Formats: sequence, C-alpha cells, structure tokens
Amino acid sequence: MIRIKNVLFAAVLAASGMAQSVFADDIKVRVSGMVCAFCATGIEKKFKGEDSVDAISVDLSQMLIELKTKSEKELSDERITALITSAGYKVTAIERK
Amino acid sequence: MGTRTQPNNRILLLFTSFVIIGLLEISGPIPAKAHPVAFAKSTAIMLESDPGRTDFQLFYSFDYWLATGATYTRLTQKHDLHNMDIHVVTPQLNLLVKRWNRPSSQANLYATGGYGSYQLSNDDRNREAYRAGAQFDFETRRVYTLFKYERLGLEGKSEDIDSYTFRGGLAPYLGDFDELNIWFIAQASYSESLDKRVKLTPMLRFYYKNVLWELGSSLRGDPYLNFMIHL
Repeated sequence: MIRIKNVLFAAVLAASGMAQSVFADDIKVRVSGMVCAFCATGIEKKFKGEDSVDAISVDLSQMLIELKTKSEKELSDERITALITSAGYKVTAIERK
Repeated sequence: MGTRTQPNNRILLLFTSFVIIGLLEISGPIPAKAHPVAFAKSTAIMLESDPGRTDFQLFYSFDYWLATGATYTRLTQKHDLHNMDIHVVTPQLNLLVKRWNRPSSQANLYATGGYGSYQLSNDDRNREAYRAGAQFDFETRRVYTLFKYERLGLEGKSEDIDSYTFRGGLAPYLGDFDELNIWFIAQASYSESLDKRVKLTPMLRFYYKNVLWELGSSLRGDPYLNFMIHL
C-alpha cells in the first residue's frame, strides 16, 4: 500500500514538473544602479519588446524588476542579463517561481 | 503584477508635449541638458534655454555607452556696446567612459566631442568650430550631483569659450517608476568668455517615465527651461 502511494506521489510530481513548462514564469530580477525612473525606462522598453514577456513591473525601492512570461514561452537568464546589460545596468540576482 | 501603458498615462505625456511645444512658440528654441548617452537603440531629444544660451540636441544611442548626433548652440556674447549671437552646429560623438552601478547609487563619466561650423549674427560666413567636453554625475534615489565642462573652439576667435556647470539636487519624496518624480535642483554655471559671473539658478525638475522637464529662474531673474525625451 505504501509502495503504491509512493509510486502515485512520484507520478504526480513528475506530471507537475512537465506541466510547469506550459505555464508562465514569474521572474524577479535584482538590478544594481537602478536609481532613476527616467533612466530605467530603457529596461521597461527592452522587455516589452520581447515576445516571451507578458508583463513587466519596475520597483525602484527594491531595485527589482518583476517579469511574467507568456505560457509556453521561455526567457532564459542569459537573455535577461543581456537585455539589462544593454540598458546599462548590472544584474545581481535572478529568482524564478 | 504587470505594467502596460494606460490610456491616461499616454494622455498625460501628450499633454505635457503640447505644453512644451506651446512654450516653444512663445519663448523660442528650448534645448535640454541630459545624460549624453541613453539606453541602446534609443533616440534622445534634449532642449535647454536661458537668455544667454540655447542648446538643442538630437542623439541616437547605438549602445548604452555610445551615441551620435548633433548639437545646435546659440550663445549671446557681449561685443563692444551690444550683444552678438553666435550660432554653432556640430555633429557629435558621446561616449560613456565609465559607469559605476552600485546597489543604491549610480555614477557616470562621459566624454563628448564634435566638429562643425558657426556663424555670427552679423555675418553670413560659415567658420570652423569644434566642441569637446566631459561630464560626471552621481546620484541616488534622494541625491543628484553633476559637474560638466565644455570647450567651444571657434575659428578666428582669440580664445576658446570654456563653460562650467555644477548641479546639486534633492528629492523631497522617493517617487517610484510609475509616478511623477519631482526634484529640487540648484545649478551654478560660469563662463569667463560670455558672462564673467557665476550664475545661480534654482529650479524644479519633473519627470515621468521617459519625459523630463525643468523650470527655474536664476537669481538675476533669467528664466530657465529644460526639456528631454527618450524614444
């Protein structure tokens, strides 16, 4: 009985892992040097131009950019770093949900 | 979570643009002071004006460290018993030499240079002109400082025109990204060739998203207007 439960539990975990890639990602990016809203508009513009990004918000008090990707679209850490670097800022951390 | 430009924000930006354009019609060309280089693949329009000087700049940033464009400058210089205007046009290159990104601050060092021509208000001849400068700024979300030096070299003039500008600013509140930001700024400017006196200009700075404007008046009563937009 315990073995069946373990197998079922493992199957649910595996299914959730596969299903997760179908859903959007919530990504938090911590950025260094982002002290001015006028200058940070470049970051917003760059991410709004990305096909995989559904929404972006910028929080200057936390030096944080929050991204939501579209379902079945991926946005890699490398791409995020490249976009922010091209805007003239520095990425210090990327967190994904 | 999520930000999309709301219709009322677009209306605010359009209204601001029309106000600025309206002021242009009343007071003449109105140029602006700004970061010489903006974010990659952006266009910056910068306008700044007071009775002694007008600057209009149009730049395209290839990357966050390199921009090219042109600057038009109108200077008023005392000549004998009357004033004379000098009109300078220079294509220009702006370079971000170094940027320091810190968790709660940013500092920048820029170099600028250009070569073009100038005319005097009482003479139609085009003469050679060059422009070279440097700018350093440091800011946090509360404090802003800037130092700028520029040299204008004009063919036929016995001496170059050196200009110095220093700014200090303070934010009375910490505006966030989607809010109107307001700053108190004091500017001190000096050019021995033009005025020989330090001009002090307190002003208010406003910016919302990609539009910035400054309004002030020097202690001598000279109005000051600065406008900038990043596209």
